Amino acid sequence: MRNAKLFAGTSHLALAQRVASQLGVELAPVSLRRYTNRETTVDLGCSVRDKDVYILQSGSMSTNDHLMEALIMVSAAKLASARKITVVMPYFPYSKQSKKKKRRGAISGKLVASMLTVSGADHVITMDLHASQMSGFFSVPVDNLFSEPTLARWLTENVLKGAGNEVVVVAKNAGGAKRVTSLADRLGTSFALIHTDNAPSTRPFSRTPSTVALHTLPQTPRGPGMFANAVNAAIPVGSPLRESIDRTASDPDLDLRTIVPGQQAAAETKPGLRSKKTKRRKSRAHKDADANANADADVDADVDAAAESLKRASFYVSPQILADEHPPTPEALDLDLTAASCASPCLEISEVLNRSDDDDDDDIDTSNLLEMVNTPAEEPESAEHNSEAIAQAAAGILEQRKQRALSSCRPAAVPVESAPMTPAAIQRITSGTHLQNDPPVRPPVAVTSWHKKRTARITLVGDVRGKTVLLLDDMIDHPSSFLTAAEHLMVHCGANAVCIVAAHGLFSGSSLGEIEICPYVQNVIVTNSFPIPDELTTASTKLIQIDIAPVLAEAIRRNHNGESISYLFDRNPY
Amino acid sequence: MSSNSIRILAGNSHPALAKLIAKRLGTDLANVTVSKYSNQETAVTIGESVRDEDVYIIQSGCGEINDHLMELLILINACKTASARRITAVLPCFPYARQDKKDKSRAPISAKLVANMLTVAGADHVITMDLHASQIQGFFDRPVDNLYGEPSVLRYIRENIPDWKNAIIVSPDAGGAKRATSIADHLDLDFALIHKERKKANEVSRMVLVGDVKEKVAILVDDMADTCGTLGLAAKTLMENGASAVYAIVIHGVLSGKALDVINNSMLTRVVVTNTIPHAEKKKLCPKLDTIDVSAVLAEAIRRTHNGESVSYLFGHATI
Repeated sequence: MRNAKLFAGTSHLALAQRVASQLGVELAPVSLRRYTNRETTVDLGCSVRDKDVYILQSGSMSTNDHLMEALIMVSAAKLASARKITVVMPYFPYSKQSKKKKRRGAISGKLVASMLTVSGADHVITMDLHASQMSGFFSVPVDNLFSEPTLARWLTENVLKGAGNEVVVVAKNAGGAKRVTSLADRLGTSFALIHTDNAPSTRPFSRTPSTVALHTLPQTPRGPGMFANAVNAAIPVGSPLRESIDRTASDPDLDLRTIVPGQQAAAETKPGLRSKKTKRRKSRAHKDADANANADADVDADVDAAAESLKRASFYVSPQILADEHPPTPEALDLDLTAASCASPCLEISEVLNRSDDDDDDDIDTSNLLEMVNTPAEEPESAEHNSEAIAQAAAGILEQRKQRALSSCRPAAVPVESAPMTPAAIQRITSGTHLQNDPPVRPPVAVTSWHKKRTARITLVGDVRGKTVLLLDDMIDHPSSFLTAAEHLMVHCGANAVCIVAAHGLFSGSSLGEIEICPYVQNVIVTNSFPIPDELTTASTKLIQIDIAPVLAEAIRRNHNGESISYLFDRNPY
Repeated sequence: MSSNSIRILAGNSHPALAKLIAKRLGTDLANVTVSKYSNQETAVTIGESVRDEDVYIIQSGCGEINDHLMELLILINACKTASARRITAVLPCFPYARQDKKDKSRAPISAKLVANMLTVAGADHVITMDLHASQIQGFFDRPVDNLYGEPSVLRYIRENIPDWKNAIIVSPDAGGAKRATSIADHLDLDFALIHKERKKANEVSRMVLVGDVKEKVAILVDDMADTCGTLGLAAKTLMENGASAVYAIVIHGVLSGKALDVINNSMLTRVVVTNTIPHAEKKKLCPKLDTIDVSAVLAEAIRRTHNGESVSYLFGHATI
């Protein structure tokens, strides 16, 4: 390639070397260092004046450092009068955050796009963006390459030919249906779809059905207080709210009557304002108690159920509490949802566990989430007076539930061996430390641990009986949802074998170890777009990495020579 | 200081919806004339002061879509230059929303272009409904409130479809599977999926139904229905597979081309659309059409935006 320089960041040197050798060029010299204060510094080791500069940097486990590195390299090249700067990011960092998933969510993918553009990138080459709409985040051209042809060829040669029986491509959630049908069409196989129906109450920001007294809305005047009033009006027996509570309650003997004592407790604690310190200590104590309870599988399921019912309880009850306090606002419901999530640390844990398996974007590591979710609980000062009251009510209910669990539920309880969380995980929750401080592979977990406590209902739409299943998604990080799906397919649906297929394999923490010991997964097939440490790849017998460097190299070559890239969307470059 | 009250402006795209919204907010539409010069240029006159006011401009992406987009841009710009404090574009149906990615080589991302145009014209805030892809929110540098028709749809199903407890929610393509599962979850129903196998580009060769619809009421859900070819074929497939009746519920009913003929001649029992796009005339020609009114959701979003209250409540709850 004349007048072109290929630079590589430190995120994925192995891939960069492969791309360079495919192109028949040397990687251009660059020195990337850290100052002692952890700032990144870049020194391009050759002239780039009037050259086409290609900078290869994939996302990695130290995402922010490597992103910053890429940005500084782009900026350096720009300042050094490069003619055109192309950033090659096989795995685009923050691509999972491509839309406002919840209220007040950030679109960080867009932010990264803007940062790249601002730093001076003229062109971006990436691969299998989580949502193809992301190319619209940029104001510069984006080439979104596909790994599908490469994967499809490998699968045709190695799985389809080898499998004496039929092959079926399966999506583990509805969001992946399009991807799955596309690969199925290409391979000429059938497809199926797994749907995990998480109970609405377990989704922290679910779009719940319109239960609360909206039917009474027209009668109440517009203005402050209408929703709180509406809720109050709806609580009597026979109302839709009551029905919905009865219908969704996981435990039949928890109904409004159970909630009422908690409410009274709240009312009692309200007048006597204790000092904040005592309260904080109290909530800490509760938190520790809950963590311990989690370690004990006997209580665990119950605590979880309590947390769920508690969430529901505080959701519906608290507008009344608020109404006693001060003039309720139309935001009463919003407010106390937040308050409720601040109130109980137990709730947070269950939230995290559920969220890790949530429908669409479930591969973000749970331990990272923990830190974020924990933060509000660490700041009781900022929590409103109401939330304290709710916390008390919550604690009351929780305590009741625990007592009952200990006294009555023993025979039906889950065996201790299948503790749903390893000691290490609990340690992490209690201490609040980060995953990176953990050893790379956790002590082996009981195989059943991912699903024992799941209350969700799994449905398979389609037929996999006696077939080899390719469980497809665009990326795999924490594998719990894949493993749950694989188990369901093998045990309940009669699948012959399950192979996990993904474009990007992130495998944070103990992911590969968990796949290794899962008896339901035969292989996990990913490309090498994302760097996986050598010790993990060699330790894993199930991992198969397919080289994607030829596609990237061909895209760079075609870009440089002004040829069409679309050729690569359907075909293999070699 | 001036009162800084809500001002509702409307273009020519959907005056009925604008009137409904204004009525719900207890105000009148501002006095605005939007017409055309003889050379077909759009002319806008704003008949009253908007200085320091909170301006909401309602314009849906439908009919003469480019004219209406141009009207909206000129209205925004006119308000900007007339010193409005804040300008919110309310687009019940976002124009060009389907061109949101490079699905083919060299395809434009026109939705991004529209986003840029709105921003450049001077919109400070955008309110829209059921974007074809939520990622379009990221095309803007401004806040975008993407409202959902789903709560209204859920209520419609509960109240207007007899025997809905024996229903199954069906997505007419793989891309809509998520929408279908979400509705199915909330109603505690099963769901199924129809996939169009494309042997060649632009040629629907075969429809594959995944899931069991035998003796059930099938409810097709989608975000947009244009020529209704897919819906017609899907209904046929469902009936062939033993469904007892087929309903279709669609948020944005574009219903262009020969859509009405297709619906009339199809096996669909009823086609339900929201009023993000006007279809009063079409309803006379097609008795199978039914309407869900979403003006309340839009009005409530405007009220909450104006008062600085949270809009997210509306994501999960239908307002009347």
